[in-house]
Amino acid sequence: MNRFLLHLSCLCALNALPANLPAEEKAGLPFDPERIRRLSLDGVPRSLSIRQGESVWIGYDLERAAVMKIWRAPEGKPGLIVPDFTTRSSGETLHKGPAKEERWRWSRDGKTVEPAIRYLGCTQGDGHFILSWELKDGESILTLRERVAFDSVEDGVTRQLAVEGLGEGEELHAPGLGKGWIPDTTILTGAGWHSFVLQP
Amino acid sequence: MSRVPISPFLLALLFPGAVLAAEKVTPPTSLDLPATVIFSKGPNRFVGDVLEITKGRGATIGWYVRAGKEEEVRVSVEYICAKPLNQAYQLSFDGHDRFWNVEPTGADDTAWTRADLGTFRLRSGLPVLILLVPPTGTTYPHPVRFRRLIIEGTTPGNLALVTAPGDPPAPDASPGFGEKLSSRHPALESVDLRDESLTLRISGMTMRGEDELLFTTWDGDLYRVGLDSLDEKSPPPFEKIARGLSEPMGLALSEGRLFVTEKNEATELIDADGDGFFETYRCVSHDWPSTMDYHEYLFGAVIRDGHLFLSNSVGMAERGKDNYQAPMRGSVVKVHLDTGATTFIAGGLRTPDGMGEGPGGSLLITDNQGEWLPSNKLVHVTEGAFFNFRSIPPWHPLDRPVATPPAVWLPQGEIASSPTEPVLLPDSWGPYAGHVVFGDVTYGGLQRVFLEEVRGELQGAVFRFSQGFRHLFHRFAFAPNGDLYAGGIARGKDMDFIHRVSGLTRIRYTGGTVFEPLASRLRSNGLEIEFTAPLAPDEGWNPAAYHVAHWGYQPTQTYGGQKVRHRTGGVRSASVSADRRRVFLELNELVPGEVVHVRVSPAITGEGGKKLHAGELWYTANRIPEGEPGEVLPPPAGALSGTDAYFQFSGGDTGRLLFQSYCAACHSLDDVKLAGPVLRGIAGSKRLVRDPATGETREIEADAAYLRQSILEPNALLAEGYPENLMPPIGAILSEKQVDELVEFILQAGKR
Repeated sequence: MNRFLLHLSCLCALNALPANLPAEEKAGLPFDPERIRRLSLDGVPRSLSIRQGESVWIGYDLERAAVMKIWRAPEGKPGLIVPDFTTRSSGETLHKGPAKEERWRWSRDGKTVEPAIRYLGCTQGDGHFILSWELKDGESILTLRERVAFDSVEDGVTRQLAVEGLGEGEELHAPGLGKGWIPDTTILTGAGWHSFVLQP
Repeated sequence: MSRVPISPFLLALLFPGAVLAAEKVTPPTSLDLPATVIFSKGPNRFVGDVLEITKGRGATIGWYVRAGKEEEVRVSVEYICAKPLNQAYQLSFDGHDRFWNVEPTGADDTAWTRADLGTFRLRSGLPVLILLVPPTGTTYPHPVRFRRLIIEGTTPGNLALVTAPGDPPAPDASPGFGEKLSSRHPALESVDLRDESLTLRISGMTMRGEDELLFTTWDGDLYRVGLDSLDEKSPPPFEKIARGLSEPMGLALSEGRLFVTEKNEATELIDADGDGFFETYRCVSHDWPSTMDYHEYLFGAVIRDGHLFLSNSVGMAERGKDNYQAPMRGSVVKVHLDTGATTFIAGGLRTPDGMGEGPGGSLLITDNQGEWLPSNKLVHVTEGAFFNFRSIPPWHPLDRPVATPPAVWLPQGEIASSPTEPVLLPDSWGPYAGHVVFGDVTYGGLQRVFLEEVRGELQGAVFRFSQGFRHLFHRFAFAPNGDLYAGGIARGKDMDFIHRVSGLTRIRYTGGTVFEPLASRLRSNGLEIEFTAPLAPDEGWNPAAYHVAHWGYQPTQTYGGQKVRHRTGGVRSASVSADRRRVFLELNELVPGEVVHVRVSPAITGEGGKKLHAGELWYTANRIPEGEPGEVLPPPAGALSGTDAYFQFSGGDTGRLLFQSYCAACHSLDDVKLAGPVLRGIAGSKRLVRDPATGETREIEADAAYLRQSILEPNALLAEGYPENLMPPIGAILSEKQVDELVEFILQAGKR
């Protein structure tokens, strides 16, 4: 067989393969896997990854309401390897999440407690995702939200956190913030969004 | 004259043989069961009279024992074990389990130790199976050396070892009669709704409104298709409407709200602004632990009374190492749609890859054969039920010594291999309305179940129904007109195979009458079979036209299981009803908990000479009706006068039948690629194999020794390109002779 025929037959064979081309898909369909992966990351069963900007990924441990890891994809590569319905981070680690013993702490009435955490879900908004959790201590409940912008808000890796339900004088202490972040506080108060930028 | 008693001593002098005879008639109260008389050893080896057990997966060590009368017995074993084991042995005594933590003894031959495994109630009558089952999935560098098991009773001569009953002879098989059907049911039409550019591994399915079918794919997408837009000539206009789901395995709709069971959570997809996009994936519940095990899925889903019902499968990858399961795996889970409040209503499931509603509002689940499941089953979910899958120590709060029996056993390889969603047939399906069909992602086709309530419990029979579809059905949805939409799926690495058997099929019941067994009802003294149409006049009265077999199952911690007490059952009489649609088989015996398998002779004809489409059923007789005998009628004159044999028994077919039961679902003897390697031309061929212990790949000659090893130890040498644990260790449930016959069949058939 000459080279041309060989080449042609290879092309035909390739065309015959069942490529998993997308069916008709509405433009702007949320939860683009290039932007968010809801498959377990790096061996943590309930976790997901969200890309910020072109190459930075933020991985979340959903059961702890905590960042697992922030990393930058290698040049020209995706940064997430996807073997068999799981994901593995690949690239340069920019930030490691808090140790397992570091937990959310809720200060109120002169006491500090570690509330029970329950993941509530994920919403795609205009240019961002919002992850939500319930933080519960007895009958008292807070709603914690983390907004992850598609693009970095302040020219760096950015996290935005808000908490609903805090009473007057109450504070929520976030694990994994503080050192390395601007501002370097771990305390959330009030109901508005708090922005944190990872120090370069 | 006084009578002087004759002393035994004097008696011995006078009649020396009499004392010996007297000694002989004082038989022992205990029974020694040496290792050498077990009927299956799996991949382990004998050293003299001692069985050295190093390999748990595929090893089943058992004896059949018969007691003349019921009594309490004490069971112990003699063994040597040099080092501690990380898991317990199981003693399965007639279905009652005890776990034995094997204490180290020392290593040399002076270390023989007797371990007491406790007392059991030994019933009389039918032989009782006693199994000693090593930890599954584990290979130990040091053996447990096992010499004998001792059963001690109190009644002299009450206990006897029984030769393991082999499988009774089976009549020659043909499609629908002892063999898988080879074609589609004559009353069904099907259309393959295929877009060749897509591989759709359908994992969940539901209707939204009258005309819109929604389905998820294993790969994480949600599609819609308008049923009015399907024209059979062009690819269906599938539209992807959501993506990024995590291994969804169930989809359900309630009052416009859409719920998905994903890998680790139950999720509601919310389109708050009504633009057709689901912008919120609300986590409804994840109130159970999970690990990274590939085999942990959430299967479902059914919505009723404001709750989502789902099941969570157990892990498999790590189980063999330490028998660990994350707590609450294998449960039926009930989740409130709004609050997410989660309760666990049943436990003990393994791979419950299908949940659906059955007759009378029942909730049904299919479960797949494997560890703790000697066969596949259809279970009726009731509050507090425990379906037998265990870890050690008991990890599920509903775990208990006596498990809830399945509503219907689905014998492995005979009628199911990997059963999927059960679905209730609607009124538009004529005589089959109210029956349940389920798919199978290995065996293929559709099987049908008829359920009845006996003494307050659902039980019934499974029937062959249809093959002849391209897809391996996993999920179903009915359109309002009664059309059944069936979604296919497959796992593995072979994308050609996956592409071929995955996708959407429309199945339509055409209303034609097909002559076949329709239903089966248990009576106190036998089994009634209802046919879809009248039998020919004077047909059906001859008991010889029905081949009946009985057997039970005994779940163990190793993979799969054999039939227990498999025997041919006698049919005392056959009585045909006045309308000739029903035949009552008066049976010689019925044992609670056993399967009654009936083969109707293909020679039986219906009115007008109609031939049977299929003639086989498996009834699970958990409960036997009391005081509800079937009517035994005298046969009409001449009805028993036929001289032709209803069944042929050619024999010598064991290898082929074993292949069909245990191998054919994954290995073809032609060039059709299935989940496992093609066996055409295997005899003497060179094959690339990988040793998972070393990771090395080498070429071997596929001879009898290689095939034998592959059957007994599937993970020892892996065919290149195939992963560990893909093939079950069926050697555990085959005798040495059966393994020989299976190997011989493959070698001969594989030459073609």
